[in-house]
Amino acid sequence: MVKNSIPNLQKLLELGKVAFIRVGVLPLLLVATVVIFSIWNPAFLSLVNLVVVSREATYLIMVTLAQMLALLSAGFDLSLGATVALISVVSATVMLSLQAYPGVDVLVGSLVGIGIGALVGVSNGFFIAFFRISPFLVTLGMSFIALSLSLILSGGGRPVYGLPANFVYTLGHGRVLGIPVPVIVTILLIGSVYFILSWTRFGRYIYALGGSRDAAVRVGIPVRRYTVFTYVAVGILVGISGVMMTARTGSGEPTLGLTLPLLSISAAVIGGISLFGGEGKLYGAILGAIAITLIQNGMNLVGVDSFVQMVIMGAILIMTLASEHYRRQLRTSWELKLRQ
Amino acid sequence: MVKSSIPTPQKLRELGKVVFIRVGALPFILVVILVTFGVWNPAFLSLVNMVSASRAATYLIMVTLAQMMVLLSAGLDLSVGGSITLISMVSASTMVSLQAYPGVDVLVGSLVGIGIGTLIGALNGFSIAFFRISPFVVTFATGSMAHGMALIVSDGGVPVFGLPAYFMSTLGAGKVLGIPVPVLVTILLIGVVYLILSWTRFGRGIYAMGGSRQAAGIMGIPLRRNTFLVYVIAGLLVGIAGVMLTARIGSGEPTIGLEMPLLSITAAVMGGVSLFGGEGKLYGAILGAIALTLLRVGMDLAMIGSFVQMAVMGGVLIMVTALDGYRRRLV
Repeated sequence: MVKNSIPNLQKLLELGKVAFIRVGVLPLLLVATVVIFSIWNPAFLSLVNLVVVSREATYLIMVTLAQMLALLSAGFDLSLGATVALISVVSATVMLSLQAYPGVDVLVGSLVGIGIGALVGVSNGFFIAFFRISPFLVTLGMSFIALSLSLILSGGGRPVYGLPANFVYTLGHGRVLGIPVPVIVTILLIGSVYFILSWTRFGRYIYALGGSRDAAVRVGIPVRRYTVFTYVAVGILVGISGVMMTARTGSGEPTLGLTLPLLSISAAVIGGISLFGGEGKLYGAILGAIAITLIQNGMNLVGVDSFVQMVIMGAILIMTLASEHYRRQLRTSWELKLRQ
Repeated sequence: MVKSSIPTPQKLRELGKVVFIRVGALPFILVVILVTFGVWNPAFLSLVNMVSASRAATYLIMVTLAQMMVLLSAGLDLSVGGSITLISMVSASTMVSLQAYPGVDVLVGSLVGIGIGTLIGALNGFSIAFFRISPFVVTFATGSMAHGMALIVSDGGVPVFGLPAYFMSTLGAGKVLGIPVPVLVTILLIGVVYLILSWTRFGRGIYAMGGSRQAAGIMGIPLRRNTFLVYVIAGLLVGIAGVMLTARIGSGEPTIGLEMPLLSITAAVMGGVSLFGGEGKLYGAILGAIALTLLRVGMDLAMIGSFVQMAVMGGVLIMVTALDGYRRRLV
């Protein structure tokens, strides 16, 4: 008994290993982030900063929800960054040109933005479903089209200023019952994605598509139709986040969100969503997005250069995936040991 | 006899279909490009323009060679763009800082550039071969890391000027026996890749791995070693392309070549290299790169803005892959 109560090094290691196998890298990453940055700069854990983080995280969470849907269906969306840029420019331009009709301008502008997201989603889905092109290539091509459109429409990359004040104040900085509007929108979106994924046929089909397309075909799932639906859902989510981000920045930015593909894929992967489809939990994606935002925020607080951040993010992504591979191996050998 | 000598539209269509199945969409695309731009601006078909197009094509061909080898092994390399920015910046900075030692500066700078390309390739290959991470994500991440480093080295995007003059005049604009140096280097590299792919066990192994990884493993092909080597060689090729491109432009540019991943994949797919590995011919990839360059040169001559060109390239990528899928179904 006495011997047992003193944990020796080997036992601790064993414990860490089991925890790692059970829950993956994400909790370790979250703890490491919080510890490192709060020691480095105590302001990291202050209430003000945490409110800032939660508000900033909402945008990445919305986009990660979209990326997660694509990933679950064994797809990909590389176009969502450029789509956000296009949405930002177009919805801002529409709002400006409708300035004479207050109220209408914001409504029409936002709807046009969401519509563009859906339109990009439809075209992605169409090519992926009906031509069986790799989602990766379709969305890569689409991202170039969307980005160039946003650059052309903005006259070569000039931001669109002069958005309606009530748009910026309500959607960007407003609060309802003390809760920031972006947070409320995000919670609503999380709720609807949860509902779709867990309680509708569509949601179960997304998982089925990603698990094994062949099997999905054999059990009679209209694979093509649901692939298009998936990308439309992705597009609508991207559309909403594009409009929200435009409200936040307060101008139509032709280069808004260009880092989002990398960030959203990293967030989803860190949250345990498989890149090969069919596997992954909603809360994982959300926690992944929060972890990424925390890391970014921490690096900003301690003054890490934005280009260095780019390098660090890439490194974190590779290390996460490598450790996931290691974890899968460990799990297999562990399960074998248990069975013996 | 008389009847069959008059081609009916149906027969023509049948013939077109057979040609399409046999050789793919590339010949059609080439003809369309040549006719469209030739009619639009006759200068497009002039000898001067063709020489400048062939010189411009060399850089894309070099990168497409790298991309093709990776694609054949059922991989993908998105880091080629980020790599080139870093190679350009670091080799230019090295040359400028070694200015006091003429001769040494160019040699060391070029070697450092090629070394960086190889190193990134090794990092890609290692992660993909030993951790079995999806090539797409690994190279996406290393590409943005390399681009980030290029921006750090360049203090946020300032190009490095003042490269040694003879670096530019030999590697960039020089000629040997009347043939531009970049063209010579490209021919040399094509020869090397041809040798590797067609005459070595390693090269056949790449095709086998891409065709079916499992079967290749059972046959005793060293999967990990081959995967690793493929990315290292691709990195080496990208390194050479990066140095040559820097010599051509005459400065270290932190944003040079960022469209290379898109262009090289489009060129390879256009040339009939399968995205799923194991299928594709060297000459196809080269012709694909040439077609894409002609398209770009033609659009430049027709005064089409660079943003529109970007959209066109994206559209071409989607169209070419759609056609490729259609062709596979016809076969």
